Amino acid sequence: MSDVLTTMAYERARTVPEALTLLAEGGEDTRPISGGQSLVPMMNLGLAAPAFLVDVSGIPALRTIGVEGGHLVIGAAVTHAELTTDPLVAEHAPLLARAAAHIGSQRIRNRGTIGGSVAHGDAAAELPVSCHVLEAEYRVESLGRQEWRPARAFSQGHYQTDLNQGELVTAVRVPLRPRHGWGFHEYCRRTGDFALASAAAGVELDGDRIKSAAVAVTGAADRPLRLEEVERRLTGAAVAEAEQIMSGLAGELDVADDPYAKGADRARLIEAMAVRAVRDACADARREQA
Amino acid sequence: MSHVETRMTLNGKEVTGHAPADTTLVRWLREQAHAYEVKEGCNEGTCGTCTVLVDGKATTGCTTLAVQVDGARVETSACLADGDELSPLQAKFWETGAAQCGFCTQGMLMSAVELLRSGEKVTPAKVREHLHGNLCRCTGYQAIVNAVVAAAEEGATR
Amino acid sequence: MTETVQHRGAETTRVVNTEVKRQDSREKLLGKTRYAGDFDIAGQLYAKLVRAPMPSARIVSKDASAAMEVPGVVAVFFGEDVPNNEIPTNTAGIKGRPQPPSWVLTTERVRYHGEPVALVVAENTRALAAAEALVDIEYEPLPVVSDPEAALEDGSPLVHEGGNLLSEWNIDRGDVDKAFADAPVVVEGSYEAQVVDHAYLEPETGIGWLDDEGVINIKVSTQEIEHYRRIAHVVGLPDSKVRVQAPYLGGGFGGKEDMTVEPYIALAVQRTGRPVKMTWTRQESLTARAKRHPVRMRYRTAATEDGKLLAHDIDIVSDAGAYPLLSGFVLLYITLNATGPYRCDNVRVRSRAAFTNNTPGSAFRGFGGMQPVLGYEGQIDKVADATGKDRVEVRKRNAYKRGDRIPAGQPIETAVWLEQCIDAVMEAIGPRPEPSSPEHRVGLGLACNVQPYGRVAWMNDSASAWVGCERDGGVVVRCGVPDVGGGQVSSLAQIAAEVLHVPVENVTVHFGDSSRTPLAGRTTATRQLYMSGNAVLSAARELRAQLIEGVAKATGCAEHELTLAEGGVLTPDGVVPLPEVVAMCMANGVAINAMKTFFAPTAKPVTQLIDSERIVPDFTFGAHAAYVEVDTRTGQVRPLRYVAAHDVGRAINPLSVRGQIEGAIVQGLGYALSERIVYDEAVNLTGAFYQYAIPTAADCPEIEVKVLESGEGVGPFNARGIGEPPIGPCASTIASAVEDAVGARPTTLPMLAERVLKCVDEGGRA
Repeated sequence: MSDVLTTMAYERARTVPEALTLLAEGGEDTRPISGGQSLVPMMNLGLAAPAFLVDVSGIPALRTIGVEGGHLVIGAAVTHAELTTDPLVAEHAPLLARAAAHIGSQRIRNRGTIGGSVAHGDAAAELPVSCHVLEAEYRVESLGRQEWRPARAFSQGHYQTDLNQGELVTAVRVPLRPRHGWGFHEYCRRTGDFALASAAAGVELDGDRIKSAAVAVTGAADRPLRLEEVERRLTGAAVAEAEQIMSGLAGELDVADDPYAKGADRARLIEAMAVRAVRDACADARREQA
Repeated sequence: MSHVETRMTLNGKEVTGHAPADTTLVRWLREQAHAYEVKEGCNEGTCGTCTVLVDGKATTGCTTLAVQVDGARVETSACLADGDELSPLQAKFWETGAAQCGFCTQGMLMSAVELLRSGEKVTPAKVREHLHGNLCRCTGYQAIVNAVVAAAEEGATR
Repeated sequence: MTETVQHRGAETTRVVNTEVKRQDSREKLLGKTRYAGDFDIAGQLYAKLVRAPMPSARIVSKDASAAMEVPGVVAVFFGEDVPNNEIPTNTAGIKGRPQPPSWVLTTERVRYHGEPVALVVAENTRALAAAEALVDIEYEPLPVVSDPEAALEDGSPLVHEGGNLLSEWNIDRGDVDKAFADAPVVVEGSYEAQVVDHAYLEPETGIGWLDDEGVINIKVSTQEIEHYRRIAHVVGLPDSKVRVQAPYLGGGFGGKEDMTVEPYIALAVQRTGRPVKMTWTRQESLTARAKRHPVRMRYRTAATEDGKLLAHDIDIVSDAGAYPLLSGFVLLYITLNATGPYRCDNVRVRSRAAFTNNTPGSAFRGFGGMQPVLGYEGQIDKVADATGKDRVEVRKRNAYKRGDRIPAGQPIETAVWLEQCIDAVMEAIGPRPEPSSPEHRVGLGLACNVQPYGRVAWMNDSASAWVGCERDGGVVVRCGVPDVGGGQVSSLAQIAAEVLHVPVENVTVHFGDSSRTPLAGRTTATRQLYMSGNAVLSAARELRAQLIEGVAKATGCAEHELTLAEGGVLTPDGVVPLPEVVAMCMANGVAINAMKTFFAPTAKPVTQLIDSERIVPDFTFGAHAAYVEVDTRTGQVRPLRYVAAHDVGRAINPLSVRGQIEGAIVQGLGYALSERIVYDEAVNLTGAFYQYAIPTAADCPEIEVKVLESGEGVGPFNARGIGEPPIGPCASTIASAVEDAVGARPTTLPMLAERVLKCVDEGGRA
C-alpha cells in the first residue's frame, strides 16, 4: 500500500529522560502512548491523529510498585491487570485493585495502564475517581521538571486534565492509611461498559462511629465529584446511620440529561452506588479493626 | 518515510513486516503475515474477535499498534491445532457446538487459552467473567462455557 | 444440557436426528474458513461510501475534484454514474400507496442519516479515507420527521412525495364490538419496542472481479445470492453476467437479506475493470444499515370470567424509516402474528407503517413475529390477573388446537404442542432461587409464541438441489444456499447421507454460488431447511432409485430386491460397493445424479383486509420461562436461569437446533434488556459498537433447551423451521418475570434500569 498519506512516527523510549526529550522535541502533535487502549481506538475512529507517538510502556522505571516513605508509589506503566493482582496494591491500596477489576475486560486490562487512564481523563473511568478518594497524587515530569499534582485538581473536565504538552505522568502515589476501609461500586448497562454511575468510598472507624469518610462518584459531572457534604454528614455518625444519612442524595445532585440517560435517573443510580460503596467501606474497615 | 519494520515471533516463527507506524496489530497480522484467522469486527476494542496472545497475555489486535509489540511473541488460534488435529479445547468447542458462524471463535479461543493457562480454577462463572470481552452473537455462550469448563476438567491448556 | 426427544410415528434414522458434529464448525475452529472479507486479489482497489451527515436535506451540489487530487484515488461516482440507479421496491402483495424506489446513490434528496451519496475508489484504504473527506457535497437541510405517528398526521414533512403512509394491513374477524359489549373482563395495554441492530460480528464485506467471460464475480457476505439479478440490473448487464458467491457468513440475522456492498462493488468493477474490495466499518453499519422496526402497539382484550379470550382490538404503528425495503412484509407479519398462539374468534387489527427520516427498517430475525409477542403475552397475563386465574392455565386454556384458524383465515394443519412446551419449561425451570441480598427480588416469567416458517404463499417459493455420486463412492450435493452459521449446509449433508446410506463425512456440499449451484433461495424467513432440505431429500431419493435401477440392470436382480445399505447397494448376493454401483449405472445408461426442485404451496396475494386460507406454509410454537433478579435500588435486571422449549417437528441435528435456540435467546435478551439505537431528531447517535450493548457472557444466564419433537412439520423428515422462532418470547418472558418480582410490568423496550426502577416504585415492594 502507498504510504504517501501516512506520516505518523513512533519511537519506543527506554528511559524517562529519553521519553521527556522525545516529547519535548516532537512538537505539538506528539503524544505519549502506553497501553494505547483508549488512544488507538480514537485514532482508528478519526478522533485523534497524533504525528508522533512516544511509547513509554516499556520503560523499566515506570513498571515498578513500591512503598516509599508514607506512600505506595505505582509506576505509570503498571497495567490494570497488575493492579488487580499485585500484593502491595492489595495491602496498601485495595481500592485501586477493586476498581481496576471493573475496567473493560481482561484483554483491555492486560495492556491499559494506570498512568494512561489518569492522563486520558475519561470522566467515567474507574481509577481517577478512586484516586480522588485516596487523596492520590500524580508525578508529572517534563524536561528538567518534576512535581506531584493532587488527583483532585488534576481532573479538569471530560478528557481534560492538568497535563500540558511535553509533560508525562510517571507515577501515582497513594498515602498509606492502614486503618481505613474501602468500597467501590459501579453501574453499567452491560458488563465491562463505561459506567453510568460509580462510587468510591473510604472510611475510618472509631468503634461503631465513622471517624472520617471520603466519597467520590462519577456520572454526576464532567469529572469525578467528591461528595463533601455527604462526607461531613457521615463524619461522627454511627455506621448504622450511614444509609439514612445518604438517602436523598439523588435529589441533591444536579445531573444533566443526555441522550442515553435522564439526569434524575442517573442521580438515583449514583445514590445507590454511593450507599453501597460506603456500606462496603464500613464493612472493610470493621475487618481492619478486628 | 514511515514504513516501519516490525518483527515478531508469530506462532513460533519469525515474521517481519513493513507497514506504517499507525497500523494496528490485527491489520498487520492479516496484511503482513496473512494471518487471516484473526478477524476484525469493530476496530474500536469492543468485540474481541481480534484477540491474540502477546507474550502470553490476551491482547486486542485493533487497540494495539503492531509497532508496540515489536519483538514480542504473538500467538493466534492457528497455533492451537496440531496440523489438522484439533487441540483439546478446539475439540470441546466442536463437540458442544460452540462454533456456529465462527467469526468470534478465533478470539474466543485465545481468551479461553489465557484462562486455561492461568492455573485458576475454571468454573462456569469464571469462564463468563474471563470471556466477557469476547462477544458472540450466535451461540448464546452456553456451549462456549460448557466447552471451556470441559477442557479445563481435562487439564487442557490449548 | 438435558434434552427431551419425543417421537411420534417417526421413521428410524441413522444420520438425521443425531448430534452430528458439523464439518463447517471443525474448519472454523481450525481457522481455515475464509469469510468474504478474507479474500484479497493482487491489484485490487478499495471502495468506500460517502454518506450523508444529516437525516433530511436537498443536495445542492456535488464536486469530486478535490478528492480526485488525492494520490491513489481512481474514481469517484455519484448516482448519475450508475446505469440504473433506481432500485425498485418489490411491491408484490403489499398494500398501500405506490411504493417509492430506493437509490444506489441518492442524487437529489437525503432521507436518512448515513444515506449513500457517493462512491470513492482508490488504490489503498488510506487514500480512500482521505478522499472521502474531500468529496464536496453541499446540503440544504430540510425539515425532519422522526416520529411515525407524527408522520401520519396532516401537514407533516413528507419523506416521499406520495405521502408518509407506506403500508396498511387489517384483520376483521367475527364481531369485535359485540364481543366487547358483552364481555365481563376487558383489559388494555400499550407496548413499545425499540430500534435494534443485527450486530453480527462480521461487518458487511465483499470483493468483486471481472472474469475472462466478462462476468462480474462477487464474493460477498450475503443471505441472498440471487441478488445477482438486481446487481445486474444496477450495472445494466444481463442477469447471466453477474455471479454472486456467498462463503460462510459471520452471522446474518436478516441484516444481510437486502443488498449491502454488492451494487457498489459491481459498479466499481465495471467502471475500473479491476478487482474491488469493500468492507463497511462497524460504525457505518451501525449508523446506516437497515434495522429492526420500532413499533407501538395498543391492545384491548376481552375475556370471560374464567379467562377465555373473547376478542382483541389492536392498533399498531410501525416506523419504516426512510425507504420501503421489506417494511410492508414485516408489517404483514406483525399483523398476522398480533394475537399469538391463542385462539380468538373476534379480532380487529389495524396496522400501519409510516415513513420517517430514521434509518430504514427491514428484515431481522423474528420478522414481525417478534414485536407483537410483547403485546399478546402482556395481554394474556393481564387477563389471567384480572380473572384471578393462573398464568399457565390461562395460556393452556386458550392455546390453538390443530384445525383452528388464525384470525387471518389460515387453518393450522400440523400438531400444536404449545401445552407440551409450557409443561416442559415449567418443569425444567426448577425451584425459585433466593435473592442475593435484601435489596434484590426474584421473579418467574413465562411467555409463549408462534412464528410461521417459510415465505408467504404468493412468493411462489422454490428451491433446487442436485445430488450426485462420484466414481469413488463419494456423494456431492450442489445447492445454492448461503450458510449464515446455523448449519444450513451441514443439514443438507445429513439428509443426503441418510437417504443414500453413506457416512456424513463422505458427503461434500457445494453451496452459495449463483452460477455453479442450483438456486435454492435466500437463507431467511426460517425457510432454508424447509425448502432446500426438501429439495435435497427429493433429489437424493431420486438418485437412490437410479442407483437401484443401475444395479438391477447390471445384475438382473429385480429392483424390489435391492436396497441401499452402508457402503453400497444390498443385493441378495451381498453388498455392491458404491464405486461399483456407479460403474454399473454408467455402463447401463442410468444417470448418477439427480436434480429436483421443491415448490412451497402457493396462493394468491392477500388483500389489505387479510382473509386467506393459505398465507404461510406452517408454524412453529414454543414457550420460555426464566427467573430474574431485580436490584430494587438500581432497577437492574439480571436473568438467573432461562429455559426454552420449542416443538421442532423433528430435529435434523439436535446440536444445531440447540445452538439456534440458545443464540436466539441471548439475542432476545439483548432486545429485552440492553440494546437500542438512540436517535436525536433522526440523527443516529449510536455510531460506535461500545454504545450498542449486545449481551456478554457475563450478562447471560445458564440456558437449558428442551427440544420437543411432535413428528409433525412440513420440512424434510417432518422438521419445522427453528431459525427465527426462539427469539420471539424472550422480551415478554423477562417482562413477566420482572412483574412477578416487583409488582409492575415494564412495557417499553429495552427494560433499562431506570424504566424498571419506576416499576419498582409502582409495585411498592422495595
